[in-house]
Amino acid sequence: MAIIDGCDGECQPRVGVYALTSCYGCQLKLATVQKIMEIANAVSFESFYMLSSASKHPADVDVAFVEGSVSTEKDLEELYEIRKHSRILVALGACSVNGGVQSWAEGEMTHEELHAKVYGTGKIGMKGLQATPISKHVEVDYYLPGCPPEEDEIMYFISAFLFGTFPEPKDYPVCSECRLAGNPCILIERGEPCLGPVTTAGCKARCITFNVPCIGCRGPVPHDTAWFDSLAMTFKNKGISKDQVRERFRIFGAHNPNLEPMLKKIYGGTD
Amino acid sequence: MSGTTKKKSTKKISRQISVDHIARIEGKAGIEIRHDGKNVEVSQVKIFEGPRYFEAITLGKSVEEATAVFPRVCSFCAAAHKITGIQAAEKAIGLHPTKQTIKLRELLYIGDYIESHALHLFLLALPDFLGYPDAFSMAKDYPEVLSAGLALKDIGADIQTIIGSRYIHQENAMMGGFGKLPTKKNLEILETRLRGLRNEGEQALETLVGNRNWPEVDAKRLHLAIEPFDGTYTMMGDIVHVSDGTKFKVEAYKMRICESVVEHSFAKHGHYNEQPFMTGALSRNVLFGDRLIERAKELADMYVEYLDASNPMSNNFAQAIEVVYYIQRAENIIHNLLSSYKPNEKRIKPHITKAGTGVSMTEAPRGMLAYTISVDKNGKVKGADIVTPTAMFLPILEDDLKRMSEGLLQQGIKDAKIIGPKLETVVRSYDPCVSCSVHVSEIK
Repeated sequence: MAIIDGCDGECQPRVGVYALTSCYGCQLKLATVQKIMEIANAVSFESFYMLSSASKHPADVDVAFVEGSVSTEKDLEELYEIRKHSRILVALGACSVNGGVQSWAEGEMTHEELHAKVYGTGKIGMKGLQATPISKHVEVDYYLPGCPPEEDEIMYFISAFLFGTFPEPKDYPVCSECRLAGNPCILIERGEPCLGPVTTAGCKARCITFNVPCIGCRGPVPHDTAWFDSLAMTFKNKGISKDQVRERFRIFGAHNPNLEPMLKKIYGGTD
Repeated sequence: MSGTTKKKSTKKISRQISVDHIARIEGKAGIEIRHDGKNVEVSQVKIFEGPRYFEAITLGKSVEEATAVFPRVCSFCAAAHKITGIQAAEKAIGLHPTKQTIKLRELLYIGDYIESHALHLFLLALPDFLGYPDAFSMAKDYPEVLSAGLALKDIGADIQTIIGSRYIHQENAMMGGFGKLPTKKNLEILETRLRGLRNEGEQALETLVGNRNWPEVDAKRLHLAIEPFDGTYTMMGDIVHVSDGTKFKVEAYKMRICESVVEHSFAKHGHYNEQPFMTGALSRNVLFGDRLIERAKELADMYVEYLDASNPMSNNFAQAIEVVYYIQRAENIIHNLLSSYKPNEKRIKPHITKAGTGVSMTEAPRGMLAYTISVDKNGKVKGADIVTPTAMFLPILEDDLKRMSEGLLQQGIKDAKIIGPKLETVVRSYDPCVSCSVHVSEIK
């Protein structure tokens, strides 16, 4: 479904940039890529509330980038509406792709408990929901992960759509890019709780290059192709407990159904 | 979005002006005004942005991981959240960072200021004053204005990337220091670039000058700002000053700044001694503007009538002055750092042996930001309280929207399509950060 089909180079693809519940970092990243002015000339932003008063909702678009998790009933209504009016829908960033950090307490506290912890008995006229990735509710065509996404990937997605091709997902972990970056392995050599082995590549091992263990912001590797089995025992051997590993995985991967089976494989039934 | 008018059938004729989705701000919010043709009965900023429950989801989690999660509150001021959160956590566990770490954090914070102010002024606010729906269309007629804005955004972002690993969600800034320190060479490059940006730094001010503040929103108001710790003008400090002459220690913010839940918003509302107040660049200017130096001082004196303590639209000018000031200050900090730089200084790894609570307040680009973090002896978060600038200024912003709409109504302007966009401009002058404002505080 190339978006320039039928355009004959004349028309501008219509693009919508939307936010559900999030920090607005993905839109900010998109708005601040070096070539944003060129992008603004090549496409027509039909809806981009963060940047333009000329935004419409709903807007019929060729490509919709949706940032944020579904965290309110209003989010859900908007998401359905966006899907209905978009030919291609891209989940933009960690919240949209995996539910985001707001899902950290998924399964630990109910939505009512979370609400009571923060708002007490104070009444609010709008209804909140437990945070979920958008794919729980609508069909998603492409996933652009990251917290925030990387500039080169944003450019890759937009260029691919402009050229009438499709962006290919990365199905390999951060470790592969970390090797290419020439970093020493901070998990093996220093026992740091680095989530590189189970996190989707694309950041060129940005944090590890800064000597910071990966926190997993790009989410679990798709298709379970992580190098988990080969490196997983290292977590255990380095004395990192099952609970520590689980807690860290869940920051950006609380909705990953493969998490518990993976943990069971290394640690067995015990903690 | 422009406004719509709906008539409501109550006994008294009540009309409504609503803006469903305020464009060109960070986050999702609307405005609702109800009036009888002359007086405004209800003036609300409706916050639809969903709750993310940061203080609840981090309970029982490792404090180091929690301090990586808290900055996800906001992307425009992620470094502000990161640094304030880290400082509170360090105080909780009794960790004292090195002098070099403190200086580098300030530099990182300045990067956030320059980027955030540049984005707000050039991409969000200036299109109002030049008459465009967005910066894209503005750029066609004012290319030099936008390119100055983007150059400022770039330097702000690059300072953060070099020190913090990226300009949104800086993982390299951690409790105890940094994973990796910037090289001497990279700091030198930043210094040179900053020196070359002085003209761009003044572009926002130059563009804004000539635009008068709207008199409808003139009103005496309280300002709160943190006294900079070192006698200069900066964002770190321990004492909050109030424009009524009182002061309080940052540790006492929970006593002095009360937050309450309101029905029309996922963001709570902050009050000082039960009064609405302003916080942000204008408040900093009102309380500590006499500490500005060099070119920023000159410009602030030259355009003093634009820095009006009773008009929130002056916040744009105050931000533009800060851009000039912080470009200079960043250059000076780098210069001083380089004279005795230790590129191999090790991060102090947190070693947690006993429980504790720490409070930190800083001036984020939009105003005061407060963190309280309690940690147990195992290094797990026992409690967290975050109060953001937008939650603090929402009540006075609503008052200003009431003043603005009443002022226009009394001039006979009743068309929601005219009033709506003007209200949006008033909202924008506060530079609200809606994601920040939402739900980030614990009920006591």
